[in-house]
Amino acid sequence: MASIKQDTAQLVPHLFRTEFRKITTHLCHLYGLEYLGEAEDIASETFLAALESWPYKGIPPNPAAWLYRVAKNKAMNRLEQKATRRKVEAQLPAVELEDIPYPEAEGDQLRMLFAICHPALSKETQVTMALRILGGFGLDEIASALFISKETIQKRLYRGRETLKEQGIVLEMPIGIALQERLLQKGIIQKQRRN
Amino acid sequence: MQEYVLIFRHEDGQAVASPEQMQEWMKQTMDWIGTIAAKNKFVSGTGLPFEEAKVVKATDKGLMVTNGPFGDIKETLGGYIIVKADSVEEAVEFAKGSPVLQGIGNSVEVRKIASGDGIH
Repeated sequence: MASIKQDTAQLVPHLFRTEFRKITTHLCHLYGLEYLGEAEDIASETFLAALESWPYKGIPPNPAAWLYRVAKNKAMNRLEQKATRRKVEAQLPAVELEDIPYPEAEGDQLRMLFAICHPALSKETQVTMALRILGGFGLDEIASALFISKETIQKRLYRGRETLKEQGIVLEMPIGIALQERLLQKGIIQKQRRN
Repeated sequence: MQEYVLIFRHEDGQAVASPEQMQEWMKQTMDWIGTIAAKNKFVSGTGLPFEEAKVVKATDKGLMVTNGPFGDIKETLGGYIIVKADSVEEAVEFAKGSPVLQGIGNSVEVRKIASGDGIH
Protein backbone atom coordinates (compact mmCIF):
# COMPACT_ATOMS: atom_id res chain seq x y z
CA MET A 1 0.00 0.00 0.00
CA ALA A 2 2.82 2.37 0.89
CA SER A 3 4.48 1.92 -2.49
CA ILE A 4 1.24 2.67 -4.31
CA LYS A 5 0.89 5.87 -2.31
CA GLN A 6 4.41 6.89 -3.23
CA ASP A 7 3.74 6.22 -6.89
CA THR A 8 0.57 8.26 -6.93
CA ALA A 9 1.98 11.22 -4.99
CA GLN A 10 3.21 12.92 -8.16
CA LEU A 11 1.24 10.87 -10.64
CA VAL A 12 -0.65 13.65 -12.42
CA PRO A 13 2.33 16.01 -12.93
CA HIS A 14 4.41 13.01 -14.02
CA LEU A 15 1.83 11.84 -16.54
CA PHE A 16 1.34 15.38 -17.73
CA ARG A 17 5.03 15.74 -18.50
CA THR A 18 5.28 12.42 -20.32
CA GLU A 19 1.87 11.81 -21.89
CA PHE A 20 0.56 15.26 -22.84
CA ARG A 21 3.03 15.56 -25.71
CA LYS A 22 2.52 11.97 -26.80
CA ILE A 23 -1.24 12.39 -27.03
CA THR A 24 -0.94 15.75 -28.81
CA THR A 25 1.65 14.63 -31.36
CA HIS A 26 -0.06 11.32 -31.97
CA LEU A 27 -3.37 13.01 -32.75
CA CYS A 28 -1.56 15.40 -35.13
CA HIS A 29 0.10 12.42 -36.73
CA LEU A 30 -3.29 10.79 -37.29
CA TYR A 31 -5.32 13.82 -38.33
CA GLY A 32 -2.82 16.40 -39.52
CA LEU A 33 -0.95 19.31 -38.01
CA GLU A 34 -3.80 21.69 -38.84
CA TYR A 35 -5.63 20.11 -35.89
CA LEU A 36 -2.87 21.01 -33.43
CA GLY A 37 -5.14 23.29 -31.39
CA GLU A 38 -7.85 20.64 -31.15
CA ALA A 39 -5.25 18.00 -30.30
CA GLU A 40 -3.95 20.14 -27.40
CA ASP A 41 -7.52 20.69 -26.18
CA ILE A 42 -8.25 16.98 -26.31
CA ALA A 43 -5.04 16.22 -24.38
CA SER A 44 -5.99 18.78 -21.69
CA GLU A 45 -9.55 17.49 -21.46
CA THR A 46 -8.27 13.95 -21.14
CA PHE A 47 -6.45 14.92 -17.96
CA LEU A 48 -9.56 16.64 -16.64
CA ALA A 49 -11.50 13.45 -17.38
CA ALA A 50 -9.00 11.52 -15.25
CA LEU A 51 -9.68 13.96 -12.43
CA GLU A 52 -13.42 13.36 -12.74
CA SER A 53 -12.95 9.64 -12.46
CA TRP A 54 -9.80 8.46 -10.67
CA PRO A 55 -10.41 9.94 -7.20
CA TYR A 56 -13.78 8.19 -7.02
CA LYS A 57 -13.20 4.95 -8.86
CA GLY A 58 -9.54 4.44 -8.13
CA ILE A 59 -6.44 4.95 -10.25
CA PRO A 60 -6.50 2.49 -13.16
CA PRO A 61 -3.77 -0.20 -13.27
CA ASN A 62 -2.27 1.41 -16.39
CA PRO A 63 -2.97 5.16 -16.16
CA ALA A 64 -1.23 6.01 -19.47
CA ALA A 65 -3.30 3.45 -21.37
CA TRP A 66 -6.43 4.87 -19.73
CA LEU A 67 -5.49 8.35 -20.95
CA TYR A 68 -4.85 7.12 -24.51
CA ARG A 69 -8.19 5.36 -24.62
CA VAL A 70 -10.07 8.45 -23.47
CA ALA A 71 -8.11 10.71 -25.86
CA LYS A 72 -8.83 8.34 -28.73
CA ASN A 73 -12.56 8.37 -27.99
CA LYS A 74 -12.58 12.14 -27.76
CA ALA A 75 -10.72 12.38 -31.07
CA MET A 76 -13.14 9.94 -32.69
CA ASN A 77 -16.07 12.09 -31.61
CA ARG A 78 -14.55 15.43 -32.42
CA LEU A 79 -11.99 15.06 -35.20
CA GLU A 80 -12.91 11.99 -37.18
CA GLN A 81 -15.74 13.59 -39.14
CA LYS A 82 -13.84 16.79 -39.90
CA ALA A 83 -10.67 14.99 -40.84
CA THR A 84 -12.43 12.37 -42.95
CA ARG A 85 -14.17 15.07 -44.97
CA ARG A 86 -10.86 16.77 -45.58
CA LYS A 87 -9.16 13.52 -46.53
CA VAL A 88 -11.95 12.57 -48.92
CA GLU A 89 -11.64 15.98 -50.56
CA ALA A 90 -7.89 15.68 -50.78
CA GLN A 91 -8.18 12.00 -51.80
CA LEU A 92 -5.97 10.85 -48.96
CA PRO A 93 -6.23 7.40 -47.42
CA ALA A 94 -8.56 7.19 -44.42
CA VAL A 95 -7.01 7.12 -40.95
CA GLU A 96 -7.09 3.80 -39.15
CA LEU A 97 -7.01 4.70 -35.49
CA GLU A 98 -5.70 1.32 -34.43
CA ASP A 99 -2.88 1.40 -36.96
CA ILE A 100 -0.24 3.09 -34.88
CA PRO A 101 0.07 2.21 -31.22
CA TYR A 102 0.98 5.09 -28.91
CA PRO A 103 4.37 3.89 -27.70
CA GLU A 104 5.69 4.38 -31.24
CA ALA A 105 5.02 8.08 -30.93
CA GLU A 106 8.69 8.90 -30.22
CA GLY A 107 9.39 9.57 -33.90
CA ASP A 108 6.30 11.75 -34.05
CA GLN A 109 7.75 13.93 -31.33
CA LEU A 110 10.90 14.57 -33.31
CA ARG A 111 8.75 15.45 -36.34
CA MET A 112 6.71 17.72 -34.10
CA LEU A 113 9.89 19.41 -32.89
CA PHE A 114 10.87 20.16 -36.49
CA ALA A 115 7.37 21.37 -37.32
CA ILE A 116 7.11 23.82 -34.42
CA CYS A 117 10.69 25.03 -34.97
CA HIS A 118 9.93 25.80 -38.60
CA PRO A 119 11.69 28.98 -39.80
CA ALA A 120 8.28 30.46 -40.71
CA LEU A 121 7.76 30.89 -36.97
CA SER A 122 9.58 33.47 -34.88
CA LYS A 123 12.14 32.19 -32.41
CA GLU A 124 9.90 33.27 -29.50
CA THR A 125 6.99 31.31 -30.94
CA GLN A 126 9.18 28.27 -31.48
CA VAL A 127 10.30 28.28 -27.85
CA THR A 128 6.77 28.85 -26.55
CA MET A 129 5.28 26.08 -28.68
CA ALA A 130 8.03 23.64 -27.74
CA LEU A 131 7.49 24.30 -24.01
CA ARG A 132 3.75 23.93 -24.35
CA ILE A 133 3.42 21.02 -26.75
CA LEU A 134 6.54 18.97 -26.11
CA GLY A 135 7.31 20.09 -22.57
CA GLY A 136 3.72 19.83 -21.39
CA PHE A 137 4.11 23.07 -19.40
CA GLY A 138 1.06 25.09 -18.45
CA LEU A 139 0.47 28.64 -19.66
CA ASP A 140 1.18 30.02 -16.18
CA GLU A 141 4.46 28.17 -15.96
CA ILE A 142 5.63 29.35 -19.38
CA ALA A 143 4.55 32.90 -18.62
CA SER A 144 6.53 33.05 -15.39
CA ALA A 145 9.57 31.36 -16.94
CA LEU A 146 9.74 33.80 -19.87
CA PHE A 147 8.64 36.87 -17.85
CA ILE A 148 5.72 37.62 -20.15
CA SER A 149 1.97 37.67 -19.64
CA LYS A 150 -0.26 34.65 -20.06
CA GLU A 151 -2.21 36.53 -22.74
CA THR A 152 0.95 37.00 -24.80
CA ILE A 153 1.65 33.27 -24.51
CA GLN A 154 -1.87 32.47 -25.66
CA LYS A 155 -1.57 34.85 -28.61
CA ARG A 156 1.78 33.38 -29.59
CA LEU A 157 0.47 29.83 -29.48
CA TYR A 158 -2.58 30.84 -31.49
CA ARG A 159 -0.56 32.68 -34.11
CA GLY A 160 1.93 29.82 -34.26
CA ARG A 161 -0.83 27.31 -34.99
CA GLU A 162 -2.32 29.62 -37.61
CA THR A 163 1.06 30.03 -39.31
CA LEU A 164 1.53 26.26 -39.42
CA LYS A 165 -1.88 25.98 -41.08
CA GLU A 166 -1.32 28.83 -43.54
CA GLN A 167 2.08 27.56 -44.58
CA GLY A 168 0.73 24.05 -44.95
CA ILE A 169 3.47 22.70 -42.68
CA VAL A 170 3.12 18.96 -42.13
CA LEU A 171 4.41 16.59 -39.48
CA GLU A 172 7.44 15.47 -41.41
CA MET A 173 11.17 15.13 -40.96
CA PRO A 174 13.12 17.31 -43.36
CA ILE A 175 15.53 15.16 -45.34
CA GLY A 176 18.80 15.69 -47.17
CA ILE A 177 19.82 19.27 -47.82
CA ALA A 178 16.63 20.56 -46.16
CA LEU A 179 17.61 18.81 -42.93
CA GLN A 180 21.15 20.14 -43.16
CA GLU A 181 19.86 23.68 -43.64
CA ARG A 182 17.53 23.42 -40.69
CA LEU A 183 20.31 22.17 -38.43
CA LEU A 184 22.69 24.84 -39.73
CA GLN A 185 20.14 27.55 -38.90
CA LYS A 186 19.92 26.31 -35.35
CA GLY A 187 23.69 26.04 -35.05
CA ILE A 188 23.33 22.35 -34.26
CA ILE A 189 25.81 21.56 -37.00
CA GLN A 190 28.41 23.82 -38.56
CA LYS A 191 29.46 24.22 -42.17
CA GLN A 192 32.38 21.98 -42.95
CA ARG A 193 35.47 23.83 -44.01
CA ARG A 194 37.49 22.43 -46.83
CA ASN A 195 41.20 22.38 -46.29
CA MET B 1 -28.39 2.77 7.99
CA GLN B 2 -29.49 5.12 5.28
CA GLU B 3 -27.89 6.20 2.02
CA TYR B 4 -27.21 9.88 1.38
CA VAL B 5 -25.99 11.64 -1.70
CA LEU B 6 -23.48 14.47 -1.21
CA ILE B 7 -23.72 16.83 -4.17
CA PHE B 8 -20.84 19.22 -4.90
CA ARG B 9 -21.61 22.64 -6.28
CA HIS B 10 -18.89 24.96 -7.52
CA GLU B 11 -19.11 28.69 -7.94
CA ASP B 12 -16.41 28.65 -10.59
CA GLY B 13 -16.49 25.30 -12.26
CA GLN B 14 -14.31 26.25 -15.18
CA ALA B 15 -11.15 27.20 -13.35
CA VAL B 16 -8.15 25.80 -15.22
CA ALA B 17 -5.76 23.99 -12.96
CA SER B 18 -2.06 23.23 -13.28
CA PRO B 19 -0.94 19.58 -13.10
CA GLU B 20 0.23 20.25 -9.53
CA GLN B 21 -3.18 21.65 -8.57
CA MET B 22 -4.83 18.67 -10.25
CA GLN B 23 -2.60 16.37 -8.20
CA GLU B 24 -3.48 18.18 -4.98
CA TRP B 25 -7.19 18.03 -5.77
CA MET B 26 -6.97 14.33 -6.59
CA LYS B 27 -5.03 13.54 -3.44
CA GLN B 28 -7.43 15.45 -1.19
CA THR B 29 -10.47 13.86 -2.77
CA MET B 30 -8.98 10.38 -2.48
CA ASP B 31 -8.00 10.98 1.14
CA TRP B 32 -11.49 12.24 1.92
CA ILE B 33 -13.19 9.29 0.25
CA GLY B 34 -10.59 7.02 1.90
CA THR B 35 -11.65 8.08 5.40
CA ILE B 36 -15.30 7.36 4.56
CA ALA B 37 -14.40 4.06 2.90
CA ALA B 38 -12.33 3.09 5.97
CA LYS B 39 -15.60 3.15 7.95
CA ASN B 40 -17.12 1.01 5.22
CA LYS B 41 -19.57 3.80 4.43
CA PHE B 42 -18.57 4.83 0.91
CA VAL B 43 -20.96 3.51 -1.74
CA SER B 44 -19.98 5.19 -5.01
CA GLY B 45 -19.30 8.53 -6.63
CA THR B 46 -18.18 10.34 -9.73
CA GLY B 47 -17.16 13.69 -11.10
CA LEU B 48 -19.36 15.30 -13.71
CA PRO B 49 -17.38 16.70 -16.65
CA PHE B 50 -18.49 20.09 -17.98
CA GLU B 51 -17.48 19.10 -21.46
CA GLU B 52 -20.44 18.47 -23.75
CA ALA B 53 -22.85 19.37 -20.97
CA LYS B 54 -26.39 20.22 -22.10
CA VAL B 55 -29.50 21.44 -20.38
CA VAL B 56 -32.99 20.55 -21.62
CA LYS B 57 -35.46 23.13 -20.41
CA ALA B 58 -39.24 23.31 -20.67
CA THR B 59 -40.29 26.73 -21.92
CA ASP B 60 -43.59 28.15 -23.21
CA LYS B 61 -42.18 27.65 -26.73
CA GLY B 62 -41.45 23.99 -26.09
CA LEU B 63 -38.29 22.18 -25.06
CA MET B 64 -35.09 24.18 -25.35
CA VAL B 65 -31.69 22.52 -25.45
CA THR B 66 -28.75 24.69 -24.44
CA ASN B 67 -25.08 24.17 -23.81
CA GLY B 68 -24.93 24.20 -20.10
CA PRO B 69 -24.92 24.54 -17.25
CA PHE B 70 -23.30 27.90 -17.92
CA GLY B 71 -24.70 31.37 -18.42
CA ASP B 72 -27.37 32.43 -15.99
CA ILE B 73 -26.68 29.59 -13.55
CA LYS B 74 -24.06 30.73 -11.08
CA GLU B 75 -23.34 27.41 -9.44
CA THR B 76 -22.47 24.29 -11.36
CA LEU B 77 -22.68 20.69 -10.35
CA GLY B 78 -19.20 19.18 -10.13
CA GLY B 79 -19.91 15.66 -8.93
CA TYR B 80 -21.40 13.61 -6.15
CA ILE B 81 -20.72 10.71 -3.84
CA ILE B 82 -23.15 8.34 -2.18
CA VAL B 83 -22.43 7.39 1.43
CA LYS B 84 -24.05 5.25 4.09
CA ALA B 85 -24.76 6.99 7.38
CA ASP B 86 -26.65 6.31 10.61
CA SER B 87 -28.09 9.81 10.60
CA VAL B 88 -28.17 12.97 8.53
CA GLU B 89 -25.77 14.44 11.11
CA GLU B 90 -23.20 11.79 10.30
CA ALA B 91 -23.66 12.44 6.57
CA VAL B 92 -23.14 16.15 7.24
CA GLU B 93 -19.91 15.33 9.09
CA PHE B 94 -18.72 13.46 6.00
CA ALA B 95 -19.71 16.41 3.81
CA LYS B 96 -17.69 18.83 5.95
CA GLY B 97 -14.49 17.02 4.97
CA SER B 98 -14.99 17.56 1.24
CA PRO B 99 -12.13 19.42 -0.46
CA VAL B 100 -14.77 21.15 -2.59
CA LEU B 101 -15.44 23.32 0.47
CA GLN B 102 -11.99 24.91 0.29
CA GLY B 103 -13.41 27.23 -2.36
CA ILE B 104 -15.44 30.09 -0.88
CA GLY B 105 -19.00 29.95 -2.12
CA ASN B 106 -18.83 26.26 -3.00
CA SER B 107 -21.26 23.94 -1.26
CA VAL B 108 -22.04 20.32 -0.59
CA GLU B 109 -25.72 19.44 -0.49
CA VAL B 110 -26.70 16.44 1.66
CA ARG B 111 -29.80 14.57 0.49
CA LYS B 112 -31.31 11.36 1.70
CA ILE B 113 -31.89 8.77 -0.99
CA ALA B 114 -35.40 7.32 -0.94
CA SER B 115 -34.82 3.69 -0.11
CA GLY B 116 -38.22 2.39 -1.11
CA ASP B 117 -38.45 0.07 1.89
CA GLY B 118 -41.21 2.06 3.51
CA ILE B 119 -39.31 2.34 6.81
CA HIS B 120 -38.07 5.94 6.78
